[in-house]
Amino acid sequence: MVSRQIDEPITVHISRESVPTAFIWRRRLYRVVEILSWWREASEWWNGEQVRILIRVTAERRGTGIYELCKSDSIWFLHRVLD
Amino acid sequence: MSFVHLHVHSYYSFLDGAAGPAQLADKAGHFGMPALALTDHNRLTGAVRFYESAKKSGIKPIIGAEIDMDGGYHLTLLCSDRTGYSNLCRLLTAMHCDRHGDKPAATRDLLNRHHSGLIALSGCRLGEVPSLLAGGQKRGAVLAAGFYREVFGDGFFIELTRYPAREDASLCRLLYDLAREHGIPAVATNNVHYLSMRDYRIRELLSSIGHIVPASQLPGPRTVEQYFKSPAEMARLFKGFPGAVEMSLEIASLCNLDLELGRPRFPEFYLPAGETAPGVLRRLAYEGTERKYGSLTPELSARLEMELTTIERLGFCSYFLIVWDIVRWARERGIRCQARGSSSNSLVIYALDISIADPVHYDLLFERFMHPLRNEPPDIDLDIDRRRRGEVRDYVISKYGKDNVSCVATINTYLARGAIRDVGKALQVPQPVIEEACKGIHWLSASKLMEKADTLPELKGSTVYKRPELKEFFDLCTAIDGFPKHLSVHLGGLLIGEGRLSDLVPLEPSSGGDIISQYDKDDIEKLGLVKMDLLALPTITVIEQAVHSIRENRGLEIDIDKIPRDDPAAFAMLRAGKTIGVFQLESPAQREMAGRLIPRTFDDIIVSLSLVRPGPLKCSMDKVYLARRHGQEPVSYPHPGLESALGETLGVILYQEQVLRVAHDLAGLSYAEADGFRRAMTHDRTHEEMEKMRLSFINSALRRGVKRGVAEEVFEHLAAFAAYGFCKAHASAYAVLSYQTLWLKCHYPAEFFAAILSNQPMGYYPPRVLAAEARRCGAVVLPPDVNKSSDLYTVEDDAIRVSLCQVKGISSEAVCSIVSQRRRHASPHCATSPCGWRPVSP
Repeated sequence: MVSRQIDEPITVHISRESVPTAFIWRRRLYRVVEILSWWREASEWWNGEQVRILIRVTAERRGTGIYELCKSDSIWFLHRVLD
Repeated sequence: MSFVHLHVHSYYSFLDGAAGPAQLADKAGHFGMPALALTDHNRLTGAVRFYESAKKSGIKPIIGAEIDMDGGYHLTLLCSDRTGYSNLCRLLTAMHCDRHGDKPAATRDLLNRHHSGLIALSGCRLGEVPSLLAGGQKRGAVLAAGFYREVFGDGFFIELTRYPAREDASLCRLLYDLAREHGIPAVATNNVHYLSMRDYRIRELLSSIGHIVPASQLPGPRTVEQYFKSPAEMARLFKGFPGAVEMSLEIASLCNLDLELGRPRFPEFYLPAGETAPGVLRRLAYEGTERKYGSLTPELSARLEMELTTIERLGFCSYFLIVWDIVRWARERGIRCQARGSSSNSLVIYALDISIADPVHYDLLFERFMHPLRNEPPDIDLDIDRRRRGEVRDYVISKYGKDNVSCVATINTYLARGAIRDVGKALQVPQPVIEEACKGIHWLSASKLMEKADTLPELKGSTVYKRPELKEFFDLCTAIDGFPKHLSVHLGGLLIGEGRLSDLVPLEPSSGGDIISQYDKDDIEKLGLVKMDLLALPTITVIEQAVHSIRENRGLEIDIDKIPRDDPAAFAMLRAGKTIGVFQLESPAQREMAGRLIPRTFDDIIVSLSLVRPGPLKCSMDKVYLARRHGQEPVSYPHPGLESALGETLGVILYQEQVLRVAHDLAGLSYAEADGFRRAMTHDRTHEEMEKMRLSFINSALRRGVKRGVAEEVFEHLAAFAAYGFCKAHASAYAVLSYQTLWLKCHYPAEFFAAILSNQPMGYYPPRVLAAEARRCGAVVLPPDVNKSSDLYTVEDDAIRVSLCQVKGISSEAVCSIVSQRRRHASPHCATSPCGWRPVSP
């Protein structure tokens, strides 16, 4: 599997259980089908960054793909796309 | 679901842990865990504190360590019982002491020798089994697991740690499968290094300090997962590894070490057959008392009996004899030494010639030194001639055996200055900012820095503490405030074990090569071991050298311990404030006090030493005392019943011993209870604890007919005083040295200043001030002379000859060579002669 680093801001829809249900990237809506895994990563705390939370999901728009969503300092990014 | 963390680092892993043992124990208690282990890197330095904290939190403490093996592998060891603890101590000692400068590490052979009573977990990802497995060497991993299994038997477990990550490594699964295949039980751990996830920054910061690299350049892998996870989190994390979480509880149930804190473990004093320590101590004490006082009065006998009974009951007879023997050995060899501190409150100590302060004459209280209610061994600290302390130490080592004696460690911790420097470097804060932030800070803790920045005059002018962009920096400095950095050698502490020390205390070499305990003096005491402070005091060296010099120079034999203590010329000098160079009386504050106190007797020196201290000065006690002394204010007492306790200091509480007397006379406490009360008031205490003490004191006083207002007033006095009071026994012992140096300065200034200049650095003033003072006292200071100067300052009639060591750029080897050549040739040095020496020409 090849992955592309994206790091672009996205808007994420969260369920009541704090689980992403969909996200908007480049004005297109992607519906989260499955949460594959999640983890936390150390950040550049010496620059004031918070711990990053990464969530790997399967999402669909036309077809399905694997995406890594990243939350850092309450801001969501699309970190990677896995093809 | 419950769980026990079995692999936990505290900040005693030195720059690789970000939580204190008490915090860890609290957290375990908060999560309702039945037990908790502490496994710091290659050491047990935090073990006693952890043990106590865990017990306080109602959880079972498990003592262990994560050790380094040969090859750089880690292994987690836990003590299941006392045998395991002793083996861990021996193992750690061998790892540190037998490596000849290399990093501490255990060989397989060492494990074979010291495994009994120990449980082993295969370790973090740096363990031998996980490392080999991660490297694809399954066969090697199986062999390694086989070795550990052979050594530890059923006490070996495969350790599973799981930190979710992008490439969620299958190592945990591989380990789990290996464990199942070979019938080795597996246990979940989290290799805890900090309390909460956010604290991973502190761990990385410490790591960056430890590796001396900026935080941004720390080598990976990085994780935020090594925090103190709850049982529920651990259960979720190890859902796919059945039995791993439950196994932690099973292992915890196998660990049942009782450290037996407080059980005395004193070395035996070797005695001839048929003699007992109490018998010998009693004989020596009675003989000494008769020798000192001429005859045994009923009062002296009663006091001796009281002291001897207490010493015997508490089991300290051998300890007293050991100190007596050290002092006797030293004195027989002309090594001047004497007790300092509260031990001078004891008549037995005085009778044994350990102390020079007469406790009967100075009305000192034995209970300030020791009593049955005090839950720790007494401290008998000795001041020794600095030049010869090593000889005394060597005697102790030779007498009790190399394996039974070590130095005591001191734990060096972060204060504001060190924290600013180290954190600054790790965060690459510009050097000028670090310098500005450190300016004016000396003994301030980082947590007090912000609070004091507005109030301390030396910090008021600086804006650095208020710059918003530096807030995070100072927060991080505060976060590591008080964290231990490393061990060093306690200045004088010497530890004597009841047997081989490494059975009870792990030892390691200090950077200077001394063997030190991994525990500090407080933990040593809690373990019930005897610590002796053999302190090098340069003043004693000065006295000894000056007396020697007077003998050499003038042919006069002076017994400095028998000089009259009312010498008018010496007291005139003291009153005139001409005390530069005089022990403890030379500071500007003391010299100014001499002008106000107008001292005329030896007792006035004791008062002066006790009065010129931060506490009494801050509370203006000096003003009250002086006004009463000079008749400008009537002497009054809060209660007439306190006249006996406070009469000698005109109604002012000056000495710690007086706190005992006041509590005894007013509230009817026994002296032992009163000392407990004094000690409780000097320690940090909560408002509730203080209130409890207050009520107990006031109620006791009320029962004795004291009015409430008086009882309350006296309690407030005692509470305020307890923080700053001075031990009269200590002041009395030091007053002797003060007076002896005053007398020497007054009558033999050349010899006195030659000795004091030879022992620099010491005291309050630099050599140029001391030399100027010597001239003011009539001594001529002669320049260095290659044919006359020595390695020390010497005296020629009434002149001081400057030492050769003062010649700029001269090496100590050159000085030694010149002095020894001069002795050998008995001829002057000639700068033009090829060999430098020529016969004396008439």
